[in-house]
Amino acid sequence: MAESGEQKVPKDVEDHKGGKDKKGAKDIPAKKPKTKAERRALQEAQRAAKAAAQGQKMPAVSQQRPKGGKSRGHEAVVSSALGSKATARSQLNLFSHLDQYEKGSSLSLSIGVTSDIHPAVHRLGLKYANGSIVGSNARAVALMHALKHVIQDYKTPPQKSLDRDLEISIRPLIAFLKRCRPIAIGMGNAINYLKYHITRTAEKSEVEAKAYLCEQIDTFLAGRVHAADKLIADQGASKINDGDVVLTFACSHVVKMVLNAAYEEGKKFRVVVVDSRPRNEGVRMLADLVEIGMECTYVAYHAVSYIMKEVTKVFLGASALLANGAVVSRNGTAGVAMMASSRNLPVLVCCETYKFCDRAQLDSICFNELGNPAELLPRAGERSSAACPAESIEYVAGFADKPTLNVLNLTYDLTPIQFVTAVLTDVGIIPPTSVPVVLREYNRELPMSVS
Amino acid sequence: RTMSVEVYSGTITHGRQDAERAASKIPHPLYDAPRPLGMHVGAAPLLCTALTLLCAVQFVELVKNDRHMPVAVAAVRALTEVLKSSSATTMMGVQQELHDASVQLQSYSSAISLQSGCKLFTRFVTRTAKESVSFEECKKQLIDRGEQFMQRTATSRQKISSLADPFISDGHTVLVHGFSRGVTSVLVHAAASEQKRFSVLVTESRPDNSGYDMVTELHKHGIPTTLIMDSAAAHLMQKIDFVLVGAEAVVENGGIINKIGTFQLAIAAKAFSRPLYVAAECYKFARVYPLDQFDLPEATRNGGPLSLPIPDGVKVVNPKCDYTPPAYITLLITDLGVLTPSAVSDELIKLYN
Repeated sequence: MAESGEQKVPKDVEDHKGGKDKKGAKDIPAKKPKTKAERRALQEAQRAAKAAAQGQKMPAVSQQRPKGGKSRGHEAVVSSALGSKATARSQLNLFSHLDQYEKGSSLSLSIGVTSDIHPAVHRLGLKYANGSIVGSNARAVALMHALKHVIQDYKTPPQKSLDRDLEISIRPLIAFLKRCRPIAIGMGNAINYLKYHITRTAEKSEVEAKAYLCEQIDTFLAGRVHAADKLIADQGASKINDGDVVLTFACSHVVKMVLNAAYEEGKKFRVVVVDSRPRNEGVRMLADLVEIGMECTYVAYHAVSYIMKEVTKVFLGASALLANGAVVSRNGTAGVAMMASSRNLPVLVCCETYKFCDRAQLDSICFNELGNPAELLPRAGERSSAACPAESIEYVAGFADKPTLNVLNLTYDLTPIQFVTAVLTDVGIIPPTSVPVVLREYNRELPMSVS
Repeated sequence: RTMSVEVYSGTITHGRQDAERAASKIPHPLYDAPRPLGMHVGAAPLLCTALTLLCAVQFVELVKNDRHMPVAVAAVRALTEVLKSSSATTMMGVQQELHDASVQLQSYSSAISLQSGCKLFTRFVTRTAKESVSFEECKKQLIDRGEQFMQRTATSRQKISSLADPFISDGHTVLVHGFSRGVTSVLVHAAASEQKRFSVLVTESRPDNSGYDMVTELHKHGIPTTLIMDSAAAHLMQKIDFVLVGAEAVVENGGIINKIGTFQLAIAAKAFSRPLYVAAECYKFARVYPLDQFDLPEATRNGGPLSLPIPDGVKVVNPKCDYTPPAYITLLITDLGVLTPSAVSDELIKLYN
């Protein structure tokens, strides 16, 4: 809490882990209010002082290593293991509330210092960080498998009970994964599911409890993910008719299954894959579909309005579905959905119910993930032209040194409910307005949380 | 009885039956009563257990004796009889019997409400019958639920009429499309009130001209009625206060499948900001999700040739039903209450959970 007027810090950007600092209470009336420039200078000074202090604090913290102790201790261990945060640079005010992107290189360096991170989780985190595992389903399944390893290797410390201690020991692992890459909503729901079942192991012995939890994880994966995908694929296939031109964006595992199921049924249709920078995930989708044998067209994002007049249906994947019917999906999905809507084409979103979230969001800003800004820009050696000369590329590539230049690489975007025709889920084809009903009826084991 | 023999001779084709009947002038139990769209006699399936036979006989009797009973209600009654006479010893057995009986009934009528009514009945009845002490008790529970469902369907029209009452005010002009018993009961109920006088515009509803039946029916009850052409609806829309239609089926997103021409009325109503109300019983809720006009089940398609002769080689497209998306519907007045289109899916999800 503020003890003097100088503590009036709106946000300390580095300290995002422990939650936001509360805005300082009202100034002591005697102090003169500072101008914006003065406050900024003060903030910079404090930040520098804090960074210096942290540098000294690190060895002291790593000696503590409380076992199953308070999460704060673990958090400090984790942040020290991952290296200090990149020095502050001018942040986009609009997105300063999100976790700022950190260069991945610092990760690989100092991990291994702490033995609190299970190797399976450690491996998983690195894969998340360097993009080996992408896609909401893939990430959630990998996470659940890793947690299964953790549970199997877990030994209850003496004087503690599994149902309380296991959850506490999982927390730093999740925090580590969050630092590698912010977790998706579906993954958060899966973790909540696991936590709920951990609390249900109160009466069991350690062996029984571990078996029970592993069984629950298997049930979750088999029922809410794999069986759900199969159901969605069948429903989606029934909605594809002969002569259809199906458009899809980037790469979605479920949509691939839908198209595969329709192809297996012998339907005659063709596919348009829309792709966008910087991730170019559509290439993977295109390759897989062509390998299956479908007739495909590959189109860059700027040509969506052109290709849309040939299209009859749009199938999209989702990272999450929100309570107000909005769809959180890969950046670019909203534009595709809007374009399709403007031509009255049906937009079908394929989403398993475990990705349904109780949160309501109106825009892509208040919750998102910031990706690596550097991958958005053309690389320094890339082919240059008169329109895009090498000097300009080089100039912009040095954005890290230019305080007035910000590069924003958003990972997700939000498609409002009016552009979605129907949602294909494991409980059937539902209108997007029915998400809260499904949450109420089916997601009782996934306690609602705003993660 | 001759009727039973005609109906259950599995190998006689539809055409031949009709021809024979025309020749001998036997009143056809299903054809000769004025029926809603979609009724026809299909070839009875070859597989016919005693139970399904009983069910079908019940159904046909009910339909013949009471011209006002909707096909779905008759089907529900018949299915309750199946439950009562069932000799199955497991839940799966009961479900199988109900399924067989439903398939048999659906061969008599292609009305979607019949199909959805049977499905809903089966689902409603077997839903809560989980762990019971003995199967006999379980069966008793099923029969009770069946009776409950039957009660509900029998009184659904009255419930809808009373819920719809506040929507019709003194001095209103209502537009209705063709003949619908649900709509008729709503209007008649409202006309009985002393406090309000309203008038009704009825579209001809070609090609079967069911609008004429509607006009006759409403006139009998002293409601001021005007007959208009289907194509004149947009022209007169500014003089109308709201549009009231029935539904053959209510689909999962809250849209409706109804007589061809309903969608046109809905579009015109929306253009003039007039509300569109749908009077539909809950057994018409179907688990279908059409994405567009042509995503409809096959049964709703061709209505046959149009009246005047046309040259050879000219095709005729005469669909019987169309799909009105939920964006054009203001409210659905059902026996479950007055629902917005998005609430229809809520009810279906709750039921099929």
